Amino acid sequence: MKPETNKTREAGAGQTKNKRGFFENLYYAFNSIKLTVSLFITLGLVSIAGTIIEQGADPAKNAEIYTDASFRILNALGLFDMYHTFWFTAILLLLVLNLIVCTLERLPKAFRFVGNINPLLNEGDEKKYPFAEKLQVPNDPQSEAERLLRRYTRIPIWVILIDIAALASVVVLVRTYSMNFLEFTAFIVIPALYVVILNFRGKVVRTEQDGKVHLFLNQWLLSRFGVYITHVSILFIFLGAILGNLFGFKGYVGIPEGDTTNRIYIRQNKMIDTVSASVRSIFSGNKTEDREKDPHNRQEYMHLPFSIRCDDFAITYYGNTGRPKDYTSDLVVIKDGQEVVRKTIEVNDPLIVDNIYFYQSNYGPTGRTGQVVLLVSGPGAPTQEYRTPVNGSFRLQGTNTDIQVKSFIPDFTIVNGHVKQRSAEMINPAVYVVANQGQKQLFSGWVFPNYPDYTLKTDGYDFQFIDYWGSQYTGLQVTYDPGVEVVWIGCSLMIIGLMIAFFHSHQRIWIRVNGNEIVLAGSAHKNRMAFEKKFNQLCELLKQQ
Amino acid sequence: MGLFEICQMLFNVGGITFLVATAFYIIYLGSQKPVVGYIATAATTIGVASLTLGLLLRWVDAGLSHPPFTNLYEVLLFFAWGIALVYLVIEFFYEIKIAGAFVIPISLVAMGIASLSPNKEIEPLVPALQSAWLHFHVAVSSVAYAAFVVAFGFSILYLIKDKVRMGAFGLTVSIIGGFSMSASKMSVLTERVFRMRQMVEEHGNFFPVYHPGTQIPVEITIPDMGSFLFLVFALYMVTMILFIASLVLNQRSLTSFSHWALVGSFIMQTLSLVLLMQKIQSSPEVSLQSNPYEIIMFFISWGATLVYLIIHFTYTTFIEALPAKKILDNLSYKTIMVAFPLMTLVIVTGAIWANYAWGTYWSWDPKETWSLITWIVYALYLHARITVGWHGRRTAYISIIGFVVVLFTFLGVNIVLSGLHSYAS
Repeated sequence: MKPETNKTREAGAGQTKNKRGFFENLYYAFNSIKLTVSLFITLGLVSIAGTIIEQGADPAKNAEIYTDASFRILNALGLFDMYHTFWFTAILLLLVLNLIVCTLERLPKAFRFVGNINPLLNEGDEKKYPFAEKLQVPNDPQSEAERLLRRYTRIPIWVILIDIAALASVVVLVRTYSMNFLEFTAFIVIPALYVVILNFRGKVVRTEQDGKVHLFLNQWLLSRFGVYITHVSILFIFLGAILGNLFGFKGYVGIPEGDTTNRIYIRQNKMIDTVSASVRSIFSGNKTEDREKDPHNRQEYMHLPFSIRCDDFAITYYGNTGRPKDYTSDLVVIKDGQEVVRKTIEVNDPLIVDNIYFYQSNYGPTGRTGQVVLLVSGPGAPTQEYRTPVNGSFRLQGTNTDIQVKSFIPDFTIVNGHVKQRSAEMINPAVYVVANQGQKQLFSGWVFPNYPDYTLKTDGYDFQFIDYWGSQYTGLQVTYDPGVEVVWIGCSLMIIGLMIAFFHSHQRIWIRVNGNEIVLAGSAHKNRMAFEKKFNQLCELLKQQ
Repeated sequence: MGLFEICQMLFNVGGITFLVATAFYIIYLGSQKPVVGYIATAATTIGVASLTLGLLLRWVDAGLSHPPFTNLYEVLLFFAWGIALVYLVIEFFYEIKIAGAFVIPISLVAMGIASLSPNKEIEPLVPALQSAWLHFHVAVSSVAYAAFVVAFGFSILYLIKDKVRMGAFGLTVSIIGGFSMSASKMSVLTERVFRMRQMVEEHGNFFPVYHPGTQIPVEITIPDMGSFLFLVFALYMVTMILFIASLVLNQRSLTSFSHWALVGSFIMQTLSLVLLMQKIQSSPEVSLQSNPYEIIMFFISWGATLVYLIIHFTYTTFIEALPAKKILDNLSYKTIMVAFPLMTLVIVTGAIWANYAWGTYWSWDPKETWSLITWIVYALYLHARITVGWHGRRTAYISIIGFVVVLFTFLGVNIVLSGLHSYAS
């Protein structure tokens, strides 16, 4: 049998050398670790360039930093928006092809290796393995050796502890978060699978042949496949990124307090847009014309199938420090004229509607004048909310007292005895109110929400400043990414793939028992030093019998 | 005494014990006396214990939702703690005390830079940091970075054991030193004065002060330091020329001169660092934030010079005391094998967090990109080692490159480049 296979292999080799077609050559060009190394180095170097040259910067700023000539060169190379250029995508694509071909070439070999593992240690086989030992054991060597080998297959206590912890965290996670199927796979199933794998400690195979007993311990065979799990995981991540870029969108909407809108502006990207528009037209007939151009700023926008209303935007600060504590927006989702969802979003806690995410991104002034919102009570007037613009006034319900709001200062401070505005942010807001009855002024003073002790005090009247409403807009990042869960599956696979590959090694121990003579052989595909210790320990224990 | 003061005291104890440990590890290099080694290990253990307690108490002090790694000061302490802890574990399992002289000084330098930090107060979290992912992300990243640093230590030891020409090492050190001096300020070279930018505090952040109506920063001169630094630079240049000459002409006698030049530059550096520390401690208008990049470069060149001199003057005993080449090579490989999945976890947790905070899991901001570059360098290391079969010197060089990239990802990006992560600095 053997010589024949050798012959066919040689013939095959000769054939491939002479008659490889173009595509075959191309295929083998990608089966190269040198290509991998050079792609890694290229990717590293261009990424460094991408962090030195500011990406997506204002062209005017770039024109200031660079001379005309170098600006033109860098611009032509796309270095100002490098990560979205064709050539950067091409590097990534080459890396993926390289990875696929290398995996296709090596994976069958790994399977062949596993298929060819021989549980028997025939005479002379021990020379093939890196560790071998011959011992004389007087008392019942066979059962002793079997007992010692089986000890390695027992589940250790730390694995049982991990099992319990994993089970508990699965229960907690499932009850705390609502996940869709893909997220469930990424964050629960795949990590749990690793914990399950930890419980498989291999088994001892016992074979009797020609009056000799062969024992074989095969542990962590899966470790040989960790690298392929990792490689496949990278494909998942790329697939997720491609899905997100083709079928998703990233947009932005600024909603003034009190306004409702369903129009979001799309972050544009020439290359991705060209490709994704054509792909979308294939998938959805010709229905991609949901995007239009704003004639004023020439930005592309689209309409969502629902509207968002911003009821309020607020910033809270840590005390009087100006260090922001929270940016929050009260959002309401309106579908077909009905309020569907209400949520107060903040940074790190987005609103999710039909898989479209709305993130708190920024804020700013609208240029409109706002309204001072006060909670006031007085003699004969129960506590009630009143709204008025600055310099406007309102009548307290059920009385003839008029309250006039004279001025509003977002960040009140006193410098040399004069009232000053420290900043435009509402760090220490203050309003000056005047109460009149007919022509007669009753009282006047400042109202501070942060300093109730300094707020004006009068008999029976109570003022609380609630908000200066309507002058700001909230900026929301709007994202729809159908590929994100696929990316998470890839990430999860990558981590357990790396752990399987690096934290474990495929270890094999063979024992041949022939009367009182024992021959041991062993091999480990990684971390030989630790295995050597284990192997020597086993020999010592057998010797002591 | 409040909780905060107790923490400060514990951190000081940690710093002092690391100083003691460094001294004893260095003495151990030369003397090889077991007692010295035990004292060094004991000091490190006490240091790690007090840092652990200090960090835990600081966590309690800030309210449990806010772990102690949210600004540069805390991250540096955490980093120092992580390095010492990873090292102690390895020392315990592999009985390799000699690496302590290389790893613990890095902890010490991190503690030193932390102690100069102007904001030691516990700061409330800005909105972007208010996420459960923060804890996991930063904790894992500190451990991963610390493990890479330890792997770097083993790689250096491997190279020394492998008898890499010490001249080449010395040359590297003097080039780093010369570069850091000339990068500091041209004024050191031209006018022999060292100036620091005057800073003003506002809401816990430090901003440079400018001359009214201009973009020229107000600067404060530290007396004498300029001339010291000029001497340091000159001595580095002398060393560099002598090393190059000895390598080119193959004249051994030249290297001994260059070593004494390095000793001189080391003394000058120590003096100027003392002056700098005094100035920062005594006057509120200058701080670590005044010239952070330069000060970190000073520390790095000072540490590199120190380590080089120690190795040089204890060379023979040192080489003998080192474990076998194969063991060192393997230790470095194993540490990277543990650190790499952790680094992957760092990037993944960062991506998940970014997706919740910014609406995109990957935005190519400088910190993200540099963490990817770190990942690529170590992926390269693993492929070179496992697939190509490289080992020994070549992989040691990759590990050194990896260390430089890790340092830049950890500190350099926040200081030099700006991006979304500047939220966190």
